[in-house]
Amino acid sequence: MKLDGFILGLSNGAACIATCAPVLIPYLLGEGKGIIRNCLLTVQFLLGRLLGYLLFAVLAWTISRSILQDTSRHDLIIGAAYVLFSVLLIIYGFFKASPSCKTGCADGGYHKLMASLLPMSLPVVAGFATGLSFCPPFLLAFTGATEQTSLLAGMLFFFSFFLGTSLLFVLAPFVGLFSRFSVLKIIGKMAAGLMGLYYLYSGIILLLGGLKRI
Amino acid sequence: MRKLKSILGYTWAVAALIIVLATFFGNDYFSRALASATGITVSPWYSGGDIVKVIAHGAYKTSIHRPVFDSLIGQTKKGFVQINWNPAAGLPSVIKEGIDYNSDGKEDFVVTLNTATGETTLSKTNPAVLDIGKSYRLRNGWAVRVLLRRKT
Amino acid sequence: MNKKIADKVDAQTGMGKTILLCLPMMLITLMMYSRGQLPTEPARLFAFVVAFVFINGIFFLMIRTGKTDRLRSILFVTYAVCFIISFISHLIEARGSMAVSQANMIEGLTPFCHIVIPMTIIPAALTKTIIFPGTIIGGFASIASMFALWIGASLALGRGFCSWVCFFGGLDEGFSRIFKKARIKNINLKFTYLPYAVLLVVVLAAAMTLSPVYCEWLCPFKTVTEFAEITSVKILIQTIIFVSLFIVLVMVLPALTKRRTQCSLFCPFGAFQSLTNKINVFDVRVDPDRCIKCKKCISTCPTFSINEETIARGKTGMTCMKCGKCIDACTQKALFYHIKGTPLTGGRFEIYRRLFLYPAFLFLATMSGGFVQDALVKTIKLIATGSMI
Repeated sequence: MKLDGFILGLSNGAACIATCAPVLIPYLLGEGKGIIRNCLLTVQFLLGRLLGYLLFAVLAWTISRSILQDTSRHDLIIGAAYVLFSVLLIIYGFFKASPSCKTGCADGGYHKLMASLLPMSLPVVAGFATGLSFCPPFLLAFTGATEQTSLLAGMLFFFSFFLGTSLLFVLAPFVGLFSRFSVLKIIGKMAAGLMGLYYLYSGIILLLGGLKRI
Repeated sequence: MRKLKSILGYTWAVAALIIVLATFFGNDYFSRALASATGITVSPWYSGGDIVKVIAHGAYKTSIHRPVFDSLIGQTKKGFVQINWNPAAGLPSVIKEGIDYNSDGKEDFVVTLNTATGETTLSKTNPAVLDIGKSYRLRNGWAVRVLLRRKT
Repeated sequence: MNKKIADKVDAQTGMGKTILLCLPMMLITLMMYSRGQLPTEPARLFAFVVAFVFINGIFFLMIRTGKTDRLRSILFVTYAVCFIISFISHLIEARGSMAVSQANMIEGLTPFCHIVIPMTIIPAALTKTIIFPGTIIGGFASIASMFALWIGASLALGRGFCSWVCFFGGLDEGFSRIFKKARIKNINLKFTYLPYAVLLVVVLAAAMTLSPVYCEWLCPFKTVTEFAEITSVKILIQTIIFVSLFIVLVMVLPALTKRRTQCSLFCPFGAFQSLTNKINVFDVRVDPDRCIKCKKCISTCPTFSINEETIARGKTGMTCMKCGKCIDACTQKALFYHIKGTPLTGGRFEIYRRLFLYPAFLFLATMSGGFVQDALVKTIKLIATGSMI
């Protein structure tokens, strides 16, 4: 398992769940067709999210094989991407503005767009659409996946990210975390902001390495 | 029920004082018990790992640690092997020694250490050997870490 | 004014009773400090006597006056300062500098610090190793002995650790008492959750890298203890970070806000230790009938552990360090130390307080006694010879 992907997912999972779950859980459980049925719906939802992430892993691999082959260009582009997305993540983590996450969730424009194109009543599709919110943690995960040495490694990286974001989702109903969502959201976002500082440092080092090679 | 809760509370509060006394008076005992019960050791990334072979050279000895590739789960791709020489008083001015770190009977690398300056050179025969790391002047000897790639 | 004096006299314990209550503490500290044998060297004997009288004097005043926080603070700050004097002078004697080299780490010569504990748990559970360059048993601050101390303190005091045990806490506490009034009063309370975020990230990052990430990158207290030798750009960046954090979080912000900003807004160990408050027998309660909602306790609390919501629930928050500041500040005696399970009414508050003070002060006295004596000896040596070493 790619631990850095898992940690990126875990540190952002609380914020993701806290924002999306209050809308998604009623949707998933509103059917009222019993626990087993609702568990199956949740599993389908999570599978949809995983499918989205794995498709993006393939996209990341394709990009890394094409335009990022040259080492100095690779370091410059990845370094710049890390710096940009990490700054967004720091802003997202510590300040009020959280543009991208809102658009990925039920009350956002992105969701409305997806709803007009896809049958959102299907849990797999709902999971696929909500999983692909272009928030800073996801963008950083995408950048991280382009750095992997093989397609399998990239998919494993995104799978680890998926596990990190989903862990709380699976555990939350059992430990009653839903009642403390606002606190969880604040901690999650701050943790994401701190991860942003780590990626900012990594990005600057990569950028300097790339500039040195030119 | 209320009275029982109250008695338990007071008992627990008095127990807190006993715990503090036990913590200090029994610190030696408790720390040894904790260490032996858990079997915990210092991470090999710091300690260098267990010594697997000791070679006597008369006035000094060479201690070869096990290769370290430890990870949280599984193993890392790159690691190191630590070699120690002690005691400091018995060391020659230049140590040149062939090391077989994986006990397969073949010499994997030859390390040269200048015990006055700490300068090291490495001549490798095993492709898993990457480079020489730093040399470290210990209180009573020297240590070097040789970087390795794990064979899969 | 007469009512104030009358109230003060009422709160005081009688002299005879005070001495009786102080005797056990005097006996125990005498045993702890002397270890069965009084020092013979004049400087050490002088330091022993001064430390013994000073520390027991503080306890005497705590019992006599019924006040906790200011007296605790005097000893707590002294403890932190003496710890630094003792620690740094020993480092320079042993190594010649405060910098710790890789060679020192290989030999396990780094003293273990309690702040590392949360980061060691996942790696210890999965690999049976401690990710810290210390020794398991033996020597100064060995890993097992510090773990044993931490377990005892957590069981006895919960997050009271941060006000009665931590050898660093006295630093930001001391700076928070420099000015009479706070220069910055409005602090965004969402930052009280930052320690939990720091805890989450450093615990996961430490597990990923098998190294104590908080110690390597963030701990501000390296400024006054020991730090890695600056042999690379990465270590230089780490040094700039921890020195900056020390200046901002330990010196400047506590002085301007009169709060313990490092402990309440950043320290991951503090966040971790808050969880132990759930299993601890002592807590701080609010009597809603006496409370006049003046909010003095809210503005006084050094760790933002009281707000209107917690007052309505009749208690302090999970982050309460049991320092006693709010209790002493309340003019209506609406706040008090309490033992879980015992009645909230009935006026036994002084008994609860004393039952808390014994383990808490004993921990503080034992931890600080050695460092206060050692710092005094070093200071005498400095005056006499011009050098502490």
